[in-house]
Amino acid sequence: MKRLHKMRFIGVFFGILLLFGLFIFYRSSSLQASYRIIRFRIRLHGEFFTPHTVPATVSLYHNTLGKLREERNVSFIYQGDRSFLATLPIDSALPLNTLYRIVIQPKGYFARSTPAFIIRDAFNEINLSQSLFFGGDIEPFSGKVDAYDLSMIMAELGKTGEQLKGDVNGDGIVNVVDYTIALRSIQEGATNEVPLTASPSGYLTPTMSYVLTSTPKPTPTSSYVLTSTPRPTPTTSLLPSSTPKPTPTTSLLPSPTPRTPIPTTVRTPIPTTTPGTQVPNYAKLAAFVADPPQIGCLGGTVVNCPVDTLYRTPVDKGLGWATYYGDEHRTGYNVVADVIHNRKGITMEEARAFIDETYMQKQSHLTPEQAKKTGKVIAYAATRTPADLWKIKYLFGIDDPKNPKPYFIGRIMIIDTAAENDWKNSLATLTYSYKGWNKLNWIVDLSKNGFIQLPTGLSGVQTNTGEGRPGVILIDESILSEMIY
Amino acid sequence: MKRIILPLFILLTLGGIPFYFYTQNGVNNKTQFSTSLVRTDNELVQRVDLIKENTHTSGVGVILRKKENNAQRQVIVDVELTAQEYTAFDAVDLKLIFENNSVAPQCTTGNATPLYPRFAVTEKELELTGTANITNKHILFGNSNALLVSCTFEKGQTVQQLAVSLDVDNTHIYSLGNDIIDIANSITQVTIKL
Repeated sequence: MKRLHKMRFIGVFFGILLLFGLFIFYRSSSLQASYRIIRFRIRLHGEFFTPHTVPATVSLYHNTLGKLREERNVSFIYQGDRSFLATLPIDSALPLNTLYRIVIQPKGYFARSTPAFIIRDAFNEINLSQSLFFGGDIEPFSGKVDAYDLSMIMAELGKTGEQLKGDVNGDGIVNVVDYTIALRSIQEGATNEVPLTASPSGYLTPTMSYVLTSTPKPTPTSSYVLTSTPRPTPTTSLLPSSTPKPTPTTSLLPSPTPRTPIPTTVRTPIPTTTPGTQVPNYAKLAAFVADPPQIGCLGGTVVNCPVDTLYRTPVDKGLGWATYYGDEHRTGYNVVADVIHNRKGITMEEARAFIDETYMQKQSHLTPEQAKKTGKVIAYAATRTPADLWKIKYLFGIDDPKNPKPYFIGRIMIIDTAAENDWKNSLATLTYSYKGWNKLNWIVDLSKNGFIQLPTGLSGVQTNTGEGRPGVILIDESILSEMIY
Repeated sequence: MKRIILPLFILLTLGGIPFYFYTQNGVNNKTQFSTSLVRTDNELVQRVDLIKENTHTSGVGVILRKKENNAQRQVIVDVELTAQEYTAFDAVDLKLIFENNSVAPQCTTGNATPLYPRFAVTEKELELTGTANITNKHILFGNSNALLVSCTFEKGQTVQQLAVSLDVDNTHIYSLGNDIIDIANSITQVTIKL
């Protein structure tokens, strides 16, 4: 009897052990099945303690086709080392070994995006933990933190619950920490990297994703773009009725509200030149359409392609398509300043000062020669080769390949370069065949101000940074004269 | 030997299961810290309510006022907040437009709010955000009858006329999430000669 009891006990024990073993096996095998994944590491401004999870929306923008995928409620789990980790399985329908820009927006925080990133059929890692995600923009969103957001936090101070607007860090309570997060965002000048005012049509419609994928898979219809709704207007009951009304001073001047000038899309063929100045002739550039200089591998294959030689050779001249690099002046996270800081070995402050000294918004109203005299550039960029680093290139655009009329856009500075493996495995063979173009090679990864002045991509929206831009000509400063006179 | 290994194996395995779940749940004594923040914030919110109950909430006007300083060859434009009765507010956004101006004026903050986390001046415009300040013991709100900012323009060799105007679309004064700006009782533009 005693022996039977003992056997039963051993049987139950091994049963539990077997179940536990199966559980461990299931976990590890499910990880193996998710071999094609992207792992994100980010850092959020605020104070967190384990266990803490922040939901985020992750969007994948293909550099030619625009937004291909949007994943809501991706769980970013706090690791205790001030960073959050999340894993995203890669869809089998998603085109691999190609360039993407990935936008991450944790709940309560501003969206940030990666520069061009190649997704491979393997483990992919994106580490954005070097700098903080800032937050505090409260619904209705304005794209930055302002007085309304701080006031809303103040209004809910001390309240607990799950659906509180003022709970920026999502810890279930509105407190001083939320107020501090919002204040810091103002001080850092942090803004949303996804434009709130862009109309949903500015991004590609889901049907566009069929172009590349063999098995059509519609992306979510809901747009990632947040809508900007008006802030509460003054409550009339709060206004005093008997206050004497001060007499406004009459003004001789009209008061239209000036806005920050946005580069216009109107093409000025060739700017007026002063007497004695040579008039540029862009015929040689127009001829690139019929007979393009080799800037990548033809036909989408590295066979018979001097891929290594190209990687070591500067891009002196070429016609291709461009990808989006990042914003020149983001103060919260500034990829351009970050790269200059790393490559020049200077501080971030010095890197930002370098951008301020070398940057101007518009040069398309000048001739290339006049633009050269300014000593400034309109954008910063990466090309295929380290041989281009710190060189100045002249950027031209062609809207219609059937009727090529090149126009000058501005000077750009090369501050970054493709990794050799990325060039060989992907960038060298990436081509663009839309809007009348036929297998254009990739030529440049360009920062925002230059990018939004390029010929438009598939959406036709000038300010859309979520898609590739065709008809881009680069000419190195050293050969400019021979190419335009 | 077998008698020792088997119980040891069982002991380790049985001990491992709860340890596994313990680490998965991320049990951590740091969570207690957030509880202490709850208490602090309850005290704070009571204080906010107390202050708000004892102040009036009337519309707050924004007055642009110019002053000539002929000795220094300067024109000063003050931006003052005004309300019929003292009103505590949480935060203010202000945007001023300088039309026909070529040199950024010298601008200094006033005492309308304890903090000015955003303050940017160019020759074309001024943008600021002023906010209340929360410390461990106090909450200092914005003051409705005080100077928000003061800008000094230097006179030049030739007389030049410019306008300083309030961008009403981008100027707001908030109290508990409500915009209490009183544009009807504001002076939104002054013309100055430099």
